[in-house]
Amino acid sequence: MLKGKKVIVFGERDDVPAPTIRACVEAAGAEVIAQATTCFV
Amino acid sequence: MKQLADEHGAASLVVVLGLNEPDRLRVLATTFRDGDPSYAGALGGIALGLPSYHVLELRDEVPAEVWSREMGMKELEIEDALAERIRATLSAVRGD
Repeated sequence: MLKGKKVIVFGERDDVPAPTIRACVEAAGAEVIAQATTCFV
Repeated sequence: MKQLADEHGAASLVVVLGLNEPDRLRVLATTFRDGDPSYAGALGGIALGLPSYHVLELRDEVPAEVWSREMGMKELEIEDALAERIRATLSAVRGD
């Protein structure tokens, strides 16, 4: 599903941050075009 | 978000989220697909049609060694019941 897709990553500081998600989706063959880590407090 | 969708084409875009709160995930995923339901934000009335997934839903697509290194500890922090609620919430928003 991810292979060849372009991904927008929204991580969460205290749950799963964006760099972690990015590493996973890039390893799955997707291209990350934007990412941000938010903090929902 | 709209600029990215216009630039890259919504058909090839996917949103991947890392928030572990089903209620807030529902609002986010609904906003990216149908527009801001409160009409308070920039996507009020703008339906981008983007599907949203939680990173937990993509485990099978990530090489095992990468998943273990990046998500191993994070996955242990999420109770099975919460993980199932997260999957169910986003699946419902996607309509699949």
